[in-house]
Amino acid sequence: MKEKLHEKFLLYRLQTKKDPEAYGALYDVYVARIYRFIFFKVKTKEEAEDLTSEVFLKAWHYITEHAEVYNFSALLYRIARNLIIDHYRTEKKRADDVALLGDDELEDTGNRGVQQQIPMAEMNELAGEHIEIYLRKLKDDYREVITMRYIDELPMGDIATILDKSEVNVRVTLHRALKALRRLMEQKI
Amino acid sequence: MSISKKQLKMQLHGLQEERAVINPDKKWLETNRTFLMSEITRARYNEPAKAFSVSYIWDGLSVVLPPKFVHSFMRPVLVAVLVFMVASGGWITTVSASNSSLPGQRLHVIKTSLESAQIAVAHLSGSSETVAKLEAERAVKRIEEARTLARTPAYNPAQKKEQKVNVQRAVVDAQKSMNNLNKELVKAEAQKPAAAASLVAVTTPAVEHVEDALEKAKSDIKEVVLAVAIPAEGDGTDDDSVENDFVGVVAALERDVIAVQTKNADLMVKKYTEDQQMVSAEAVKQHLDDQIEKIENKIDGSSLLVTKKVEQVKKATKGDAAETVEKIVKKTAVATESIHETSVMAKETLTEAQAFIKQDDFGAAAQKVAEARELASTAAQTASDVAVVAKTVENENELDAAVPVPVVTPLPAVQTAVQTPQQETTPAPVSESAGL
Repeated sequence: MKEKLHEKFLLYRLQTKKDPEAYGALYDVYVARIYRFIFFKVKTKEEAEDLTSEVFLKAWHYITEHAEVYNFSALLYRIARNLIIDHYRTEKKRADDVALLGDDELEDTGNRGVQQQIPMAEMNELAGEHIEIYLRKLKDDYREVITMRYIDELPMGDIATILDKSEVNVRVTLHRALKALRRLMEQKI
Repeated sequence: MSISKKQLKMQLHGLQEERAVINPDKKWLETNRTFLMSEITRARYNEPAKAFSVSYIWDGLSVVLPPKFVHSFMRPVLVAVLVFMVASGGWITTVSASNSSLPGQRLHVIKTSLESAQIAVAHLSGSSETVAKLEAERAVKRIEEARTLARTPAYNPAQKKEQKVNVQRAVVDAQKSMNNLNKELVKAEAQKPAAAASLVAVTTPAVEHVEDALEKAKSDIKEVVLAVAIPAEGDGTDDDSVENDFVGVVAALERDVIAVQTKNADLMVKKYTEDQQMVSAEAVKQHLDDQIEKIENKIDGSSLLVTKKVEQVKKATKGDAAETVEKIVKKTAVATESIHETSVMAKETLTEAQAFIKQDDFGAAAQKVAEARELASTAAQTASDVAVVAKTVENENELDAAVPVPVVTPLPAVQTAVQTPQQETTPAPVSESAGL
């Protein structure tokens, strides 16, 4: 409760005074969560870092331009989601462009692609039976609710706001997601 | 191998640890923070400073209260309250300004409407006492307004005419209020006999207040009537009829005041006769004794006023023509004689009333008190008329004194033979319409 009040106060300072220090404090609270949220949706760690950085820059511009922001975390997650969608659109366009190019250039791009897959391979080697591997294998919707609820420890209401769903819907999704994760882990798929 | 839900949650919770693969590098976090701060600081200095906005208040409230509550409920409610406060503030200002307004002024309509609304609410609540009190208060206000209007100087015929119309309107309104009060007493007697005694307790002092106000205002009001001799344009009414109407309205008001006082005494006696537990003999005695004392004071006051005013008239007419003086002295002598007779009769009636009270015959005593009250009212009427004559004579003398005495310069023999009419002194005219 105290943390929530402090967060609201920081947001107020940000909206009224454009206080960079307040924004820095909010960044400290949310950066890891947003990174994790993005991490599961992209292929590499570098992509996750770039997108996380961009999320915070975009959020700053949004807050300073639009006065009414009631839920800072919802804003960050929404920006993150949009950025990921944009990111995949760009990726797809690039892949299409590459297909039109010659073999030499294709080879180079392919090599880079292999290098970018390292984190996933790294995870497989390091984690063994680690839960994050199974999280990767879950559906996007399931992974999102599990991450938000059990790793980021967000309240149900906030998750519902971020995902633009009702609380009941979020509870049902969460229940199914946990069930799916447990099945994956039990079967060691 | 089966995994419990609890184990699953613990494992997921463990991912919060810094060393978990899904978390960002500490080094990157620091570098990125520095980068972000430099970017936003740069952007901040390029933007103009934000001016204060009302939305900051709502944002500030959102810190401690749920934002939805603040923006969807609190904001509209506070805005509505603010609008209401501004509107009611304006209304209160208008009402307080209207309190000092007089008949003929625009704000006076608001004042009278509010009074009517108050009385309507009192009627709805079924409280006869409140209705009676409000009606008496309204009558007092109208009489005081009539007095204030009558005392306001009017410099030309149009102003005088307007003044008279407004004074008359105020007196008519006061008379209506007294009439309503009387009706309320009759209604209470018929419908709420149990409450009649308490109603008398409320109306007695209220009517005394009305009577006092009327006594004070009467001579001022009459002066206005006598000062104006302008018929309404095109309506064919002559001055006398207008004046008589006006005097009639004042007389009607006086009659209503007396009627309420008589009704009060009758009600007291009636309640005593019906139920001696509800109204005691002492209470009736006290009420009648009070009334007798007030009537005696009124008679004495009228006699004193006449004596004083007759002296004034005599003094004021000392230098006047013998014919005029004779006329005035004759009239004042008639007034003195009349008031003396009335006073004697009234006092005799009061003595009879006192005798009936001693015999506990309150019905007969109340009747005698009512008669004495009528006589006292006649005496007061005469006294008021004499006061108006005295005032008129005084005013005319003042006017004569204000006219510069023409300087007679020695003229050549031919010119001295011609006397200008200005050099002739004319006696001050005495108002014939003084009603004596």
